[in-house]
Amino acid sequence: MGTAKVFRLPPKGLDQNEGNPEALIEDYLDHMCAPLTGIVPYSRRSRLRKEARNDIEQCVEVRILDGESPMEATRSAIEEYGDSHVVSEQFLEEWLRYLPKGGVARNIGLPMSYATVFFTQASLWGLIWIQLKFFGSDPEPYTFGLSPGAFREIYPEPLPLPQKSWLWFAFLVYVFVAPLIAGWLTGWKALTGAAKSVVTVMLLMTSLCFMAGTLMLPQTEGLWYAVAQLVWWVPAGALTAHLAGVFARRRRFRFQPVRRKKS
Amino acid sequence: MKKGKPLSREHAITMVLAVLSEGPRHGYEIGREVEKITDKRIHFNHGTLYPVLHALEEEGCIASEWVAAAGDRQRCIYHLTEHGRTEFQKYLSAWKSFSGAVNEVLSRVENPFTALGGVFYGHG
Repeated sequence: MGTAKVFRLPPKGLDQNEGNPEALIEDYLDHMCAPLTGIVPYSRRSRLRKEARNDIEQCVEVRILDGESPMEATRSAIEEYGDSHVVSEQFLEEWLRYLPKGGVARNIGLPMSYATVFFTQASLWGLIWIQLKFFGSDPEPYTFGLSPGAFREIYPEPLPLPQKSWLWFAFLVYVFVAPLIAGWLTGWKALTGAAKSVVTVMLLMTSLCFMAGTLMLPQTEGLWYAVAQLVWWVPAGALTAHLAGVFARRRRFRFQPVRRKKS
Repeated sequence: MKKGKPLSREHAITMVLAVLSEGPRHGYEIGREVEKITDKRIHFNHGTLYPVLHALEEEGCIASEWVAAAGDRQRCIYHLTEHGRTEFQKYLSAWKSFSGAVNEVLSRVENPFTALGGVFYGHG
């Protein structure tokens, strides 16, 4: 497996016989559009390619009139246009933020959409787990007493710690692993702006879990879950999403693997 | 040489609408025009320019047209629509109001006499 890295301009001083200006432009445009594959629709990519080619060709024409050789003019025009991976990265960043089709995604941006989907699901699964544990077998709802005695009955002092059972440990593993998986998926899909979106979504979910946890008292699992979300899910989820975004961008823009068939 | 500071999206939209209000242009020309007017203090990244143009086109602020250029080539020319003109006026008045307010504050601070006076008379 080899690696097709960033587009590299040929060395200066190549004459017409050594280099082909048309092929150089094509190669540059290939490198520019390849990272957009799978995210930006074909119609958009082809339009970007066509417009970029026009820009470069126009720049080449101006330089040829200034007395440069076609190869040198093409080389300078491409150099002026910018690194292929930088142009495509900027295009993709703008695309992900503002242009994707779809009502909600268009309004809040793709990173926020992915963060909402993954982190809301992960949070709600945890909450459902706790809800089922306490209310699944005993569906009788808690009633809030008005007298101090009734109040103390609902909120005994000290509040009980969660019971240690294998289900509780399985839940702890879930609480530890879930933000890492959700963060990774968000960053991997969103590529950019994932960490900020995760923090926004998680602060909302943490508030929801705090409210749910308070309603579950005197059982404290819900509150512990909300605390875990605040101190672990928010930073770990945001960091994982950021790292996954960086990794995905590096993979997409700079170190694209080229798979070769084994002979 | 390091190129100028890249534009934020809102400023990029205002610049694009401003340049197109002078007449139809293609993408590259818009970027060059901005750089020329600002003496390269503002640089239009190509990766930023086209999404802005495409978004403005989707919103109906500008329209594009492929026209024949030299040889067999075609060139995409953008021009402002009526809706775009109205939007540009909104952006322009918002920008003038904002920059006017900032200038007022800065002109007070830049004037050492006013600043010192404020300190002497207990207003600073």
